[in-house]
This record gives sequence, C-alpha cells and structure tokens, in this order.
Amino acid sequence: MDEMTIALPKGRLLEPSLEILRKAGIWEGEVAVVDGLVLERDGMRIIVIRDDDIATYVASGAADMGIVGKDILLEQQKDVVEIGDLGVGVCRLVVAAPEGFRNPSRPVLRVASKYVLLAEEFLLRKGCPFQVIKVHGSTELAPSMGLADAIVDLVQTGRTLERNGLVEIEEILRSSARLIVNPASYTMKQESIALLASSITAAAAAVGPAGVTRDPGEGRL
Amino acid sequence: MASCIPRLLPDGMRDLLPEEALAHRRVESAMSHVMESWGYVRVIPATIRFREEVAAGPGASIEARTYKFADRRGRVLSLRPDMTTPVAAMVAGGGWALPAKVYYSGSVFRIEGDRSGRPHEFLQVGAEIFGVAGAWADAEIVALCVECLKAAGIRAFRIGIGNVGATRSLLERAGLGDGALAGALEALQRRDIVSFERVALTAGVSRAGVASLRDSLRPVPVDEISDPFPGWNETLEALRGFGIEGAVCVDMGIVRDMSYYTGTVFEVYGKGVGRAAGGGGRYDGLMSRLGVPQPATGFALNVPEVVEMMRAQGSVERDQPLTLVVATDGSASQAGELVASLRRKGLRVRFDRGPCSREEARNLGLALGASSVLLVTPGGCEEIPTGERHAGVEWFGWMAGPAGAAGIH
Repeated sequence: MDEMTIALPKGRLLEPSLEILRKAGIWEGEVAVVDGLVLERDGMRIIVIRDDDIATYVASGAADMGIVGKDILLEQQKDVVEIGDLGVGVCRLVVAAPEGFRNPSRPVLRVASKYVLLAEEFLLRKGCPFQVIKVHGSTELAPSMGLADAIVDLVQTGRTLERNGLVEIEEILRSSARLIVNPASYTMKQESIALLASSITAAAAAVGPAGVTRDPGEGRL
Repeated sequence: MASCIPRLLPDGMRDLLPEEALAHRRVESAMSHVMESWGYVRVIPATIRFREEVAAGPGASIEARTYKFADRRGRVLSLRPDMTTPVAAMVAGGGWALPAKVYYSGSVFRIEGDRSGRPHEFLQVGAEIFGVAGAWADAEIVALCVECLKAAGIRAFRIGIGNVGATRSLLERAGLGDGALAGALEALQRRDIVSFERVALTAGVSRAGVASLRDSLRPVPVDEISDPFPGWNETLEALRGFGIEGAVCVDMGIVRDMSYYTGTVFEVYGKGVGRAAGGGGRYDGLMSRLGVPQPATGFALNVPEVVEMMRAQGSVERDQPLTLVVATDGSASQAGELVASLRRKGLRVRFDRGPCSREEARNLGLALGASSVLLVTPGGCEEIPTGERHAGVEWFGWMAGPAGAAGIH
C-alpha cells in the first residue's frame, strides 16, 4: 500500500465519515474533533480540517483523498477526481425568504449566501436583477436583520428556516458526501486508490441512511 | 507627490526570479536538446492569434479563458492558450516535407479562476508529428515525452493513456445517445465519475452496465488489460520497443480539455505535484478544420510543473560555477585582461568595479554563490577565500540584498 493521506471534514460529516472508514477497516478508534488534527498509522494519515478546505488540500496533492459535500465541490470547482457518492450527509441547497415574500420586493434582489457561485448561477438563469452578499455562516439571520431579501443555504430538516420565519422558495440542488481523489494520486497510486475506494464505497453503502433514494438527476440543475 | 509606478502584477502573472528562471532554462534546454537529438525541428509560432483560430482549435471553453483585445481594424485577437493549434496552422500553411516533426518552447496564456493559485502564463515545451496515422507515431510521442522528463531529472512519474475515440464508442455501445453522450463526456472531462454514472443511469443504462463502465474507465496497469481500444496492442508494442511500457498505465477515463483530440490521449503525472504536468494525443480532426486534412499527434509539458516535480524528487539544478572578479580603482585595465582570459577559458565570470574592501568582496561572492572571488588592486591580484560555501546560498542572499550593501557600482 502506498502512503496515503485522507482529509476528513470537521462538522456534521465527520462522524459518518469516520464510521465509514471504521467499517471499511481503514481506521479504528476515535478521533478528537480538533482542527488540523493529524493522525498517523502504518503509512496512513488522517487529517481533520474545515470542510471548505478539503477540496483545496486534495486538489493540490497535500491530501490524496478526501470526503466533502457535493455542495462545496460545485461551489469551489477544484480539479479533483470525484469517484464516489457516499450517500451520507444528505442535504439540499435552496432559496429561502421570509414568509409572505413577494418578488421583486426591491429593484435589485439581495441574496445572502455562503455559496456565491451557485447562488449567482441560479439567479442568472432566473433573469431578475440581483446582488449576492457573501456571508460565512448564520445565513438564516440575514433577512430578519435587513442584510438581504432572501438567502441561498443548505437545509437538512428545515427547522432552522422555520425558526427564523423563512420558507423555502425553490430547490437549487441536492447534495451528499463525496469521495474525492487528487488527479496525480489517482494515476500514480492507482492500485492503492482502487482498493481504498472500493472498500470505502462498499462500507458507505452499508452505513448510508436507510430509505434515502439517490435521485439520478441529482447534481447541477 | 510624483506618481509611482505600481509594482504589482496583473492577476495570475509572475516574474521568475533568478533561481526560478535558471530552473526553467535548465528544463527547457534539456528538453530542447532531446528534441533536437531526435531530429525534430524547432519552430517559434506567433504569440497573438485570431480569436476564431482559438475557438476552432482548442474549443469554446478554452477560448472563453483567453486574454482578448482588438487590432486596428477591430478584429478580436487572443493570446495563444495552446501551442499545438498555432504550430498546426503553420504546417497547414504548406511547404513542409511530410511527415513533419517539429518542436517548440513558449508561453501559453489561460485565465484561471480566482485564487486557484495557477499562473495565467506558463512555459510549455512540446512536439508534434504531422502526416503519420499509425500507432507508432503516438508511441513515439509518448516515448519522446518520457525522454524529456528523464532529461529534466524526473524519475518518479506515470503516464495515463486513453483513447477519446474509443471511450466515445464505448459509451455509444453502452446506449448513450447524442445528448447524454455529450453530458457524459463533459462529466468525464471534469473527472466527475459520480455525475458521469448519473448521466448514464438517466440515459437508461442498467446498473450492471454502469458498473462495467466504471470498471472500464479507471486506470489499470498495462499488463492487466488485453485490448482496451483499437490500435492499443500496436501502441503497446511500440512503447515496449522504446522500453517505456513500465511508465504507462491505461486510463480510458482520460478526456482532455482541448476539443481537437480524436484518438490516443495521455496525461503525465509525477511524484510531488498534484496536477498533470502535461499531456497530449492524436488530433486528426484539427488539420482538416485548418483546411488540410492530415493525421497529427503531439504532446506538451508544462515547465513550471516539471520544475516543481524536479525539486520534489530531489533533483537540483546547479549553475556552472561563478567566478567573481572585483577591481578596485586604478586596476580596471589590468583586471579587464584577466577577466577576458578567464572567459576565453570557458569560465563564467562576473566583473565588478568600484571601491571595495576584501570583506565586501567576500560577502558579495557569498551572496552570489561564487565559487571563487578575485580582488584586483593596483598592487596585484588576490584570491579571497570565501570559506565553507553553504549549499543553499544560491539566490537567497540576493533576495536579502547584501549585494547592494557592498557599495559596488
């Protein structure tokens, strides 16, 4: 087996990712949730970093493989090989606005989002004048604070929207955790990558939430 | 206050400082030497092209990423985003004995996404064969690429070889129609295998069919595959002839970003660099689009990636030893003769004049990484010992600027 570095995202995907790696027999034991954590065993390194940084590490070759949400992959457009849908961390990227929202409420629709590129692509297709305001978190607060008229954000259960008096207007895309590989590692370490990838995807199929249907049309709308 | 010239560079532009420039020159000249010794002739295509040429050659998605401006008549021009199209246009212009084997070295320009870290201008060295359709020409191109990498001191590398024509017909046979085929190829080009599989499922390919496509489209060692595409056995035999089959794997998932590729395609990866360091393939369609139907195949290596790989693999570029001669006041003509005679002997000699102490001459010599320092005074010539030379001095001293402190003009 070649030396291998796998990047896992802090946050909601960490626990399911670790469970998959355990089930695949790649990593045993617990991982404390510390940013930048590096664990090493038998030539296998696990690093735990922010989800926004996974694709950057993998694209540059600093990590050979990584697990990250499709939403982030689409937003960041990095050069990585996307080899598997792990079926965990299922969520949707939606446009949401305060209840009773009428479009256009202003000459230029102000939309707050962490997903600037995806929000812009979506709104461009709608053909109305808009302005995307980049925020880094707590997007759901933006309308009530007067920062924006609407938001583009991830929803899992919809409870956060509800609590903030927001309703979903339209779904932009569905996302789930993906297994990504650095293009050079994909070729240079093909044997090891193929082995790991098949055991990870097999483990993911066993771990994945029951009843989650994988919409074949999923992805970019 | 007088206005200041901004010292910043436009997005994606880089100056190459001496150390980097030396590494680029080393790689470029080692590769050029290989090309020359294989009988390829050098061409220097023009940098500025018509936009239409770029759109018809590399294709619309690359054309969208070119630097554009207008000429006096309002025609839209592009800085070349590739070298193959300009070289092909040159050969299409006629007057060449076929088959033609040419090579080039020059900058290409592509606008990259914000903060991608990729330079918008980089040096490419590459070669093309015009007028040969056989698998051996593709193999020669791969072999020449391998030889260029070796000449640059790269040891750990692997070349993934596919065939876009064969991948396309594999997908057609699996039942992908026109619309789905374009979507599937586009997903493969982004190396998004998950989306590729979704497209295939949506187009009605069975789950078993998708699983077998997945197996067919991943990289495999050459000895584990029998006949991935027509002409492969011939290509493999030719690669064996060049003794390079060990550096190669088959990857039918390779679909290059240039739209002109029609047959064998390949990408070069090496230890220490996360991106492809280059690639190439057969582009028989391009010459007919240029009005002169003719088979063609070629490759290009990106010099910055090769340099990065070289460093990661511990191959260091050393410049020829430098002799520093410093002449103090009143000894210039005497020193001049010395310098001329040293240069005639083939030494690399830097000559400086000005008031200078032994200590200053020594420091300058250290900063420049000079292997010897000669101080010439009216009283005679003296070699200044620079002491143990630090292996890593190179140009770091230059960056820190002690040379400027030596008071030499």
